[in-house]
Amino acid sequence: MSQGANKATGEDKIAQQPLIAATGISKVYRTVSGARVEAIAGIDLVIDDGDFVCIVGPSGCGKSSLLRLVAGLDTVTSGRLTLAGAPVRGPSREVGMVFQNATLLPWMTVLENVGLPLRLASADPDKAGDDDGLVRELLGVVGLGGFSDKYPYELSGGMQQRAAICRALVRDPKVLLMDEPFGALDALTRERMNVELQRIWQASRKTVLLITHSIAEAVFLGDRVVVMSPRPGRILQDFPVELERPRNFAETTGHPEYLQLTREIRALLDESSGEEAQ
Amino acid sequence: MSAGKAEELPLAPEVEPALGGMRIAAGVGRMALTLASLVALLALWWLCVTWFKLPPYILPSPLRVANALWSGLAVPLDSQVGFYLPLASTLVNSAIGFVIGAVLGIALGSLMAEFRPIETIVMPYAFALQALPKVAIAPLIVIWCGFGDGSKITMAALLAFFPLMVNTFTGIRTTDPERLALMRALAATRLETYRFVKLPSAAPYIFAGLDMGMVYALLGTLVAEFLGAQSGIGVAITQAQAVSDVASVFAALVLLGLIGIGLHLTISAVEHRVIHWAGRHKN
Ligand SMILES: Nc1ncnc2c1ncn2[C@@H]1O[C@H](COP(=O)(O)OP(=O)(O)OP(=O)(O)O)[C@@H](O)[C@H]1O
Ligand SMILES: [Mg+2]
Repeated sequence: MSQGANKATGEDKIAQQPLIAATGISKVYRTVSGARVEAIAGIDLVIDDGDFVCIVGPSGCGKSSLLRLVAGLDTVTSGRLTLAGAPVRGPSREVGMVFQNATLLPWMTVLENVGLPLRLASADPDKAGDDDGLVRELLGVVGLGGFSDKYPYELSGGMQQRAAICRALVRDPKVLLMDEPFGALDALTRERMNVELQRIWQASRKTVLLITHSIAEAVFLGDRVVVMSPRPGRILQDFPVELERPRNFAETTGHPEYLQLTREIRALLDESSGEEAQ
Repeated sequence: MSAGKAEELPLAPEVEPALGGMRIAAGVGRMALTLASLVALLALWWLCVTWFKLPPYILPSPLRVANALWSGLAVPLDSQVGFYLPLASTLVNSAIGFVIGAVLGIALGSLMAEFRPIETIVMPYAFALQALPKVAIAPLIVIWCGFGDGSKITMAALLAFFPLMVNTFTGIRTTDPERLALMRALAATRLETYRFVKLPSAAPYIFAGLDMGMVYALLGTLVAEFLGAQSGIGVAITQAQAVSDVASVFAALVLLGLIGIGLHLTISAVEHRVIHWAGRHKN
């Protein structure tokens, strides 16, 4: 929102174009009984190339809906949503998605799982193994080097999620979308994964849009933390986070700015969920 | 979780032999129990026959059955008497019918799960036919296909077809929606989604269907044989029945039972290898 001025500068200036631009987008679901469920209402969001943006908001406020729209898994009911200047019409190769559950395919090894996106995009999906080198390299980066021939059930939850992140990165997309990627992990593993993700992000400089329930996680990871209202989801406030990188839990979580931000965000969330009862 | 598990992993190989030993011990225990119950059953059977003085054309003693079994098996493989030729005929026809029925069942089940119009059109007939005891169609099949192998294969295929169609359909339709969302996010084609996600998801159902379909195929072949074929174990049974050689009927049943168990174990072993991941915790 702070970069709201950018979006009016015209589509010809490609260099200054935001990577993701949402203008007044809303999403209305129809339930089986025909009732309208307004999941998000009039969201404006501009995300620049290389940004790490975290979204927090109460449960059911439409965070996943927003992410699915950006991923091209759903279409907006109204408003305009563009990715690299072009309206989002469906899933794009420029987007990698990480779900709350690792969603690895249990019948494939880690190597095959992570290589799947490449196999699907290739001319001949029967010929697996061309990109094994690339996949192995990526697995090494997230510390799964020795596990490429294991099956998902032989991996812990954290390792599975790391493999899922590899899979999202393997086509080298511009954008990484993550929907509560560490929600199913215990607190300790989660912290380690946060540090890991920061490292991967710093190395690859992807644009990341991450949804989380954890204010601590959002502030720790994000360049910006976007706070959403209860359903129908709107953006309440967009907090820039200027904490130095690389961040680590020991220092960052004690930093005055970190504490200040988490307090503000919590207050805002509490206040808005109080409103809900109006 | 990750930390703990990662450090535990190297321990796994040490733990396994002990676990393996326990598993073998448990297996031996179960086998002993099965064997004991079999002996008890045979003893009870023998007691019934001697106590109630049952004539052999009603219920032959286990010894007579064993005798009949032996005389049917202690012949050259290509002998005109004995069990081998009829058994081979029955098994070959069942196998051919089973493969045809299974392939068609998996194909139609897949098409119905993938394309709504096909489901809408086919479903009512499928259910109607499924409700019908298909053995009742056998006389009709014999009229159409004659007394030869055609009828037997057709019956076997027909009976094997339904469990595979229904199970494939159900298996594909119950695919985890999150996996489908994944494939959509990856911009996979419909065929890729079917091949990499839906079909493997349905595999446990398909194996259950194969297990059932195999027994049904054997049943289908036997029914066709009962209706006046020239060869097959079903013919051997009716011929023995005609001369009140009940011991031979029993011997044939024992053979069929053993073959059924053998086929079931084969499918289980293949299933275990192919879908080793099934039933393990996900995510
Ligand atoms: N396919 C759908 N059909 C109907 N309603 C839906 C559908 N998907 C989501 N909704 C509704 O839209 C609202 C927003 O859902 P969404 O999953 O986006 O929330 P969320 O913010 O991700 O929640 P959580 O934090 O619990 O994951 C909810 O009220 C939900 O019931
Ligand atoms: Mg959600």
